[in-house]
Parts: sequence; C-alpha cells; structure tokens
Amino acid sequence: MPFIVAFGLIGLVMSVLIVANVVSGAVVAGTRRIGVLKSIGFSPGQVVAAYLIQVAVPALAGCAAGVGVGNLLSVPLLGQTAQVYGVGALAVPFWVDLAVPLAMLALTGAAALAPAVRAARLSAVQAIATGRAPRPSGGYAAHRLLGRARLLPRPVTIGLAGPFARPARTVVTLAAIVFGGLAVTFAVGLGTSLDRVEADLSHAAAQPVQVSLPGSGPGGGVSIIKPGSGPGVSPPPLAAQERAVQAALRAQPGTLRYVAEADDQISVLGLADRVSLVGFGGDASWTGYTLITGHWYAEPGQADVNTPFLTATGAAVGDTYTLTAGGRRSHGADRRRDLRPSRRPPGDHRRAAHPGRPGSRPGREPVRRGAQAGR
Amino acid sequence: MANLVQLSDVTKRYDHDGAPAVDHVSLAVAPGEALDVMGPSGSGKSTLLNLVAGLDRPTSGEVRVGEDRVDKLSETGLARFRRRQVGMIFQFFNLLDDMTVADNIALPAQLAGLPAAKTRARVDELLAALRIGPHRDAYPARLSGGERQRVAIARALVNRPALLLADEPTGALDTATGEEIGELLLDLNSSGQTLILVTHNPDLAARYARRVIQLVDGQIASDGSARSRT
Repeated sequence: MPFIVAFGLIGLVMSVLIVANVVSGAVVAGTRRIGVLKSIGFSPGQVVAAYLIQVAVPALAGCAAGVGVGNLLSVPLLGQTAQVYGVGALAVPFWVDLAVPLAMLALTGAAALAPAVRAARLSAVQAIATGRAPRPSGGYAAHRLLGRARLLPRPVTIGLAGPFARPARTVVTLAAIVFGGLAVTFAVGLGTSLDRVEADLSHAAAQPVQVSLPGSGPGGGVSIIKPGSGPGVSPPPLAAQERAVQAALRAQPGTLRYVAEADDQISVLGLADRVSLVGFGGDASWTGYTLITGHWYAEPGQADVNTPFLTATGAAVGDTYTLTAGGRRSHGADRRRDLRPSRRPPGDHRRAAHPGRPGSRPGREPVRRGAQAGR
Repeated sequence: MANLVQLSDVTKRYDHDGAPAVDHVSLAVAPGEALDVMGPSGSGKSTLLNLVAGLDRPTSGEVRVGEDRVDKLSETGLARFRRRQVGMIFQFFNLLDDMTVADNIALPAQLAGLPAAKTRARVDELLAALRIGPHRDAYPARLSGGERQRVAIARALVNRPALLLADEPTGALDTATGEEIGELLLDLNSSGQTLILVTHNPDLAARYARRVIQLVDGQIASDGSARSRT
C-alpha cells in the first residue's frame, strides 16, 4: 500500500510540474499575442481565464481517458487480487471515478495559475513593442563566464548559459526530471527488492524432498509404520530410518548436499503465543536463509531468529532465551542472528509454508532437535 | 466644445535616473480633430500615444479621455475603456494569426458584449467599407500589408470608438499602399472620427492631419496647423 501511494504521489507531483512548465512556456511564446489582446480590451482576468481554459481542455480529456483506461486496466489486476485473497469480485469504487478527475482538474488549474497570472501582468506596451517576454532577470554572469571558455564551441557555451536566464523554469524542468528519475529508480529498485525477498522467503537454494524407501508401499520399499498400527509389527528405530533415508538421498545422482529438518511449536518466556521452531540435523547454512546481521548458528546454545521474533520479544542479537517444549526447558547464551522476516504477520512466528511441496518428516522428535540448539 | 482628450502636465519616466520619455506635456484634442504627433526616434511619440490609450500609466499628471480619468482607472477599468472608447492601429498590424479576418474584426465587439447578430452586421459593414469583403474567411498570413492594415483599421473601428489612435500606420507599407491607408484615415476623419496619428513622415502629416505637434526629448517643441492638404 505505501508503495502504491508513493507512486501516486510522484505522478501527481510530476503532473503539476509539467503543467506549470507547459503553461509557462505558452506564456513566453504568446507574449506578443497577450499584448495584442490587452490592447484591444482583454482584462487581466480574461487573460488568466484564457490560459487556464487552454490547459483545462486537455486536462479534462486526459482525466476522462485516464479514468477509462484505469478502470480497464484494473479489471485483470483486481481479478488476480480477488483470486489471491479468495474474496468476491473487486472493482474501483464509484467515488474514485468522480473524485480523482476533480482533484486532477483542481491540481492542473493550480499549477497553471501562477504562469497565467504572470501573463495577465505582462506589460502590453512592452509585449507589443518588442514582441517578446520581459527581459530575463538573470543569466548575464553565466553568459560572461561561459563566453570565456575557450575549449568549448560557442554554440555549446550559449546553450549552457541558457538555463540561467530563466532560473524558475529551469528549476521546474529539473524537478520534473528528478521526479521522473525517482519514479523509475523506485520502480526498478522496488521490483528488484521484492524479487529478492521472494527468493529468500522461498529458500530457493534448497528443496524439501520426500523419500520413498525401497520396499515401501505399492511398488516396493519399506513403509514407515506408525506405532501400534499392525499386529505384532514394531516400527524400525528412528536411527535406522534416518540412515535409510540418507542412504537413499546419497544414492540419487545429482545430490550435492542434504540435511534433515524438523519443526515444532515451542514456548518462549514472555511471549503469549507459541513460536515455530525449525531444527536441522547438520549444517544447514546453505539452505537459502538470508541473514540480515550476524552469522549462522555454529554451536550448541545458539539459534537464529527472524525480525518479528526480536520485535515481539523486544530483544536484540546476543540475548538469552528460555525455550520450553514438551515439558523440557532449555537455556543458553545464544548468539542469535536475524533472519529475513517471514511473509506472515509479526504475531505468527511459523516459518512460511509452501503449499503443494512435499515435506520431509524423518522423525517425530522435534523437541530433541530444538533442545540440541539449546544445549 | 469640451475636449475629447486632455493631458495635463503629464510626465512618464521609465528610469528613476534617466531622462523622462514624456516631460510635462499638456495637450488637448477636440472631438473630430486629426492630430499628428511627429518627432525623431526616441522623442516620446509612441509613449504619448500609449498614455492616451491607457496602455501605460503616467508617472505624474492627468490623462482624460471623454469622461474617463484614464490615469486613475484600474486594470479592469482600463480594459473596458480600451474596448469602448479607443481603437488602436499599429505599425505592424498586430492581428491574431490563428483567427480569420472576420474573427479578428469581431473580437473587440464580442469583448464589449455586442450581441452576435449585431456583431456580424457590423463586421459585414466594415468589410464592405474597407473593401476587404472577399477576404472575410482568410487568415492574415495570406493578405498583403495593405490588406492587413485595412483589417486592423476595421478591428479598431468595430466598437465605434470616440478616439482612433494610429502608431505609424504606414510604416510597414510601400508608398502606394501607404497613401491608400492615409486616404482611408482622412476619410474617417472627414466623417467625424477623432484621430491621433504618430508618424515621422512629414508628407503623411501634411496630407492627412490638420494639426501637427513636434515632440523633442519628450517635450512639445511646436504645436501648429499642418500645411494645407492638396
């Protein structure tokens, strides 16, 4: 939302600057005409009205076209949004179609007013006699200085001194270009940043895999049997299961690295809600978590946390936490690192889930893994 | 007979330190009179005309045209004054190039609030009187200098102003065309139009004005009758 508002504001500012520049240019170009009009009886108010209407007509057409095109373009965008959020049909509110053109017309009129008033105050005598705008108030020093520049061609130095002759117009033009560059930079930077956030949140460096062991289920392999699910059949020990899984992964061509992962909900002293804990059975620094500060945990008693966690606890990297899981408490002087924030709201500390991906569930003792971090 | 134009000790100074463009000038012009203002370049001729037209304000002194105290009018009042009381003719015509001949002539009448039908009738009358009827729908760029000046005269006369001001009306024209325009102005004056004409051409002044004043350095050097017209 803030990004959309920012883009809207940039667009508004640029519209104002462009209108002011255009009308100002029209006043300069139409100086003789203004003098003639005043000589035959145009009042200053009528001169102002003439220039405001000159801008109002294209502004009106532009607003009407903008509302139409905006509504058309909003159909696919709002349709996608409705689908993502699972809500009913979305549309641009009726009041927006009325309020925006009115606001733009008002803004356009305000931008054109200053140069139009300047036109009304032009001396008719000077305008008729000389046929040009009043002599520029500045730029003489720039002309003199640049005139001494021997290394530059004279046409170049004359052009370089030109902007100083009308500093107000130069500033407005410069501001319009600055805002244009700002908008482009903002858009490109925003897009790049969002792409990076998407990649970091999705942990693109690693893919969770589901392993079917040989002899398990239809087509062969060993089944992971739940306790008590079969008459007289005991499930294989967890360690044996893990060894089988790791062997299966190593046997796959193209496997570069692997690490076991498990998650659970734990309690943190001082937080009302439980917190999601993800544990790894080895070095998981390569799995694609992007660190903001600090480094990946390297010793027992260390853990990496995300920004919402630090915000909720009011703590900083290096603080100590007491974790509770399955009735066990673990303490430790943790050197926490700050992970990239989850997509979920700050109150929800679960790691972002990826619908549709198979998960790895090598075992069901996540507490032990979490406790390993706290040992 | 009350004067139509009355200037009382009028001074116009553009620069506080420099010499005044018009220096303590007092002048009266009667209704129906044709006055020629002559002088060398920079003598203040055009400045004097602009003061009478209300295009410029005097530094001191009074300017009266008819019932109006021109130097005291507001900007809106001056605009209204120029619409109704004054018709201006310029050396370089100053027509609006993006409007037709008829539209150029009609513009002051429309500003003055004349109804559309009366405006059209008045425009037709002037087109015929000035012999530019065939160019009604043409644009000024397509006309000769003489034709453009006729359009400018028609525009100046559309609201039947009490006073016609002409600043070097033949300055941009060849001799023959200049004489045509001069004759036109003479005819207008003969029918009662008050005319103040600025020119540096003594022949033009002698032929088309009854009274000539000489301006030198912003002051009236002489004010007398012109040589009789031939």
